[in-house]
Amino acid sequence: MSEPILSVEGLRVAFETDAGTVHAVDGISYTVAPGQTLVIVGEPGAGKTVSARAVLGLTRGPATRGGGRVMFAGRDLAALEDGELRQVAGDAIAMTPSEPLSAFHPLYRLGAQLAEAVRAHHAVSPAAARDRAIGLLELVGIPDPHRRIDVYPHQLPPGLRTRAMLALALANGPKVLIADDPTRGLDITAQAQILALLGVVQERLGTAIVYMTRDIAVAAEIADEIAVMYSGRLVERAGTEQIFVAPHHPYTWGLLRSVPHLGIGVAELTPIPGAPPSVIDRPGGCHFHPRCPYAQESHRRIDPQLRPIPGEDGHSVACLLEPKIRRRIWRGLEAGQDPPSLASLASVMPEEEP
Amino acid sequence: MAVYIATRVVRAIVLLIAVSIVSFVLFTALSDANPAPGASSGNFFDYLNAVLLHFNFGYSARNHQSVLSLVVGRLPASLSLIAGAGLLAVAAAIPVGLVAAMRPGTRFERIAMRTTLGLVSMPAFWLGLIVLYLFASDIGKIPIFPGAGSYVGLTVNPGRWFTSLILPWLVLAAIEAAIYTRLVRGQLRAVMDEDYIASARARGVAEPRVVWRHGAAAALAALVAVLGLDLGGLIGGAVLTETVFRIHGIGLLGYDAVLHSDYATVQGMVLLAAMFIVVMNLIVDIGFAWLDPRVSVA
Amino acid sequence: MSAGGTPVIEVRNLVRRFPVAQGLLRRPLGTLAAVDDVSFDVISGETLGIVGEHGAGKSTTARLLARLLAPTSGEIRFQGRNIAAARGAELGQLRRDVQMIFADPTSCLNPHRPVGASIGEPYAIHALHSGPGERRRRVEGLMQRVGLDPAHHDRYPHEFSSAERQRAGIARAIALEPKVLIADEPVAALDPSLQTQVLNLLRELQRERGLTLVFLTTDLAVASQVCDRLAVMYLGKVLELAPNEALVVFPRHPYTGVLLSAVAGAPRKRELITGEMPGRGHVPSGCRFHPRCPKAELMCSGHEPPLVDKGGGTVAACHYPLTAEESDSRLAAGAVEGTP
Repeated sequence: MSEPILSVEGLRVAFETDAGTVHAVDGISYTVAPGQTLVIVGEPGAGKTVSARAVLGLTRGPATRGGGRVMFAGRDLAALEDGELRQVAGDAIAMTPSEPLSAFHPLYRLGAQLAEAVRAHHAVSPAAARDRAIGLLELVGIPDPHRRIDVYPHQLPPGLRTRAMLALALANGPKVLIADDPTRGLDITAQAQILALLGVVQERLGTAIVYMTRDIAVAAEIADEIAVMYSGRLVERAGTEQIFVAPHHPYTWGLLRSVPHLGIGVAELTPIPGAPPSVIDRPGGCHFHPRCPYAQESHRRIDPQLRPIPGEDGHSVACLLEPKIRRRIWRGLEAGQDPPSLASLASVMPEEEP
Repeated sequence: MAVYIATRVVRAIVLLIAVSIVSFVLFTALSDANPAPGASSGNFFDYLNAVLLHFNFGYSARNHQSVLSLVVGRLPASLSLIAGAGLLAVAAAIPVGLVAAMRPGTRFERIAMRTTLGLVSMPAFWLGLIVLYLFASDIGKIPIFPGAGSYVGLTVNPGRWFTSLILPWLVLAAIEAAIYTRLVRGQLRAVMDEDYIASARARGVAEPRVVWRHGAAAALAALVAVLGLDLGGLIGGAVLTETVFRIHGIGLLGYDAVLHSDYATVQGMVLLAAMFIVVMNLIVDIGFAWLDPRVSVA
Repeated sequence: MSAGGTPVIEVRNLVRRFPVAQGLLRRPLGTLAAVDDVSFDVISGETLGIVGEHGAGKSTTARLLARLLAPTSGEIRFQGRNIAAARGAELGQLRRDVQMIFADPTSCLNPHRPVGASIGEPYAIHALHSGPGERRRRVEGLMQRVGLDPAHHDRYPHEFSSAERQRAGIARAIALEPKVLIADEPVAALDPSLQTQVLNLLRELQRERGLTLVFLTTDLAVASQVCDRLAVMYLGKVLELAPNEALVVFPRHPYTGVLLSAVAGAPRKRELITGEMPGRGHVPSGCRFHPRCPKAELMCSGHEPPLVDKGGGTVAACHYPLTAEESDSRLAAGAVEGTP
């Protein structure tokens, strides 16, 4: 893999609210290389959206505390002033929100907003910006771009709004695209179209994509690398195949075993017990321990760090179980055995992390 | 858009008829002695015919004049007061409200918010009396502006028209400006939290442009809609202001009519005020639809 | 479950039109057939999946089957009796036998009443188990059955998670021991890790009570895991109906093929659909899928194909159904089952 173009290191975002401090993103790290796609999979409330917005400093505010570094082209974006950050935002790094209409100002026409996105970074004439806007609508496959350029966002049929949102993000041919669940709520045929479009754009522009989704099946579709996010942290990160063939984190196991996939006959699906923790009152130690069938007493206290797994290249996990034990459990689960009892594991499990 | 405007016009007409009906029923019940305008019979259809087709709002026994001519005669004074105060209020409220919204926690915001809260809580007649006590040329401690009863028409003497309206304008505008300032500030703050503002920042749009082109434009579009709702408040304030400053406008006319149980005039004025508000709301609705393209679809 | 069992619901030529009005005077422009001449059977004890994208007419179908809506024309026979025009007492009895679960569980739970009261409301409506102690015992039994803590009987809906609210909705739906459950996107609103909990609950209840389940969803992967037979709807029409396995392995209608290949993560050759779903009230002539169909010929724009038996329990409405070779080539990328 080539050198990463974007590297996020220990990113943290916490909000003060009336109900208490929300540690929305609790120290996540990832890298993505040109032309590669990293998919961050997590449930609603895991912190995907906040982590996406934090890269471009959009979470900054009086009630927010941030931390960590966002390294891009040799600079730490997290340390930049807003004004300097704006020179990168929308140019080299672009972002799409999860709801297409929220990308657009409701009172301005599509063309004006596309042109504004271009002119925010390049001194071109209004006419040239308009031509570029038409080209962008063509790029994302919106039919009849000469007419569509003059409509208001809400006048676009729902099927084209996601494409228009992508046109806006691609205005300046970004090197990195951070896409926050752009196919949420779309029909599956429309989702397949959008995923294919992203593939085409990535090939043409060599864009690195960081794609947030709740759907691990979408990750399977487009990811080069998958990061599994749970309760504000990344719990596992690996190449796509590794995640599906040899997952190491109990939460990843739960996801893979509970999500239905297209299949013949009625397979038993194994749900993950319990519910995701509230964003304010997160459990101590490993955040997953209340739902984890293999949790030990010590896991309530010790924070697992995302560490490389010895002998598995490019695969990291934040789990206090021993790699050997994890491999054994997953093999057993795959073979359809019931999860081994806690007692049988305890004998081979160290009390503290080595 | 054409359909939207047509729908609004039809609704306005229906609303006017409904207001006429309510007013007819109310006033017939209140006074047997003063039958409804245009119809000594008290017949409702004669009444509607008179009001809607002939613009006949009845005859004031006290002033020996038709209500319509009374009102038309008083209109310039009221319009001078309302238009001037309205413009002044908006001109003050927009910059103060926008700056207060953009600088939360600063001393400017705190002072602006406390001042406006104080002004919102002051009744117009009370503030009017205070202002007269302080600045009126006849009774004031610092006699610098013409006081109560000094109003003359614009066509009579433009200079005196202007100076006589300074204090009433200030009183009415101060209260309205306080309301609008708080509205502008609230609207802009709400708009700046919208996702589309974050999206504009994510595209690298410079902050001043984000605030003015994206934030303020949307906040002011929303303000137009609220202004339409507040027209009743402006007219109510005008009635009180005219009474305190003895400006012979519609407000004072209504006040005197109420004092002397001149039902025909009161009823005519209620109808005319309702018509005014309905028409102004129609204008605001159309203006809002022009500002916000989403509206005409809904 | 084959189509050979006893049908509990038979739907024949079912149509439901909605008026479309426009302009100043709400002048009726015409009507939009949300469900347009649909026929199928629901076999006793099976899970029939109705799959389709937005605008396919799934929710309208669900509401027609539960008779929350009256059909414009056509028949719905429940246990042999036509209930298309049922009213009064007959409809009351039907409401006991056919219950519905909604996508948004909050829609059937009154936010101002304890959840237990909402679950027990069907008893109140039908004047059953009227002793308060008796009713409470039954509601607590239902709560236990769907995996809710009976001690939470007096809590309010906002104190529950979305999945727990859906469990409460299910408890309410099974309170009167219905014969048929109509589930309209029952897990669409839930977090992914919780969807399976609710799906498994539905399946357990079905096994344990011999329920017939009609399961409406946009998610073909969920449907293929839960259902015995699948009906594929598009713009108000059933285009294909087949046993689950047959539909997934050998789809006959090109739309089914496109839909299967669009399932994310499915190991098969992508076959992208072209164009967008036609808007409200713009139903294409002939076969309504023809403008987007990879196999469309001249014939398809002129003549609407009827649903025809293609063997093996599959019926499909297509002039040029997919061949076995075409299906195989899509599958060539890998096995159907299993994760990629």
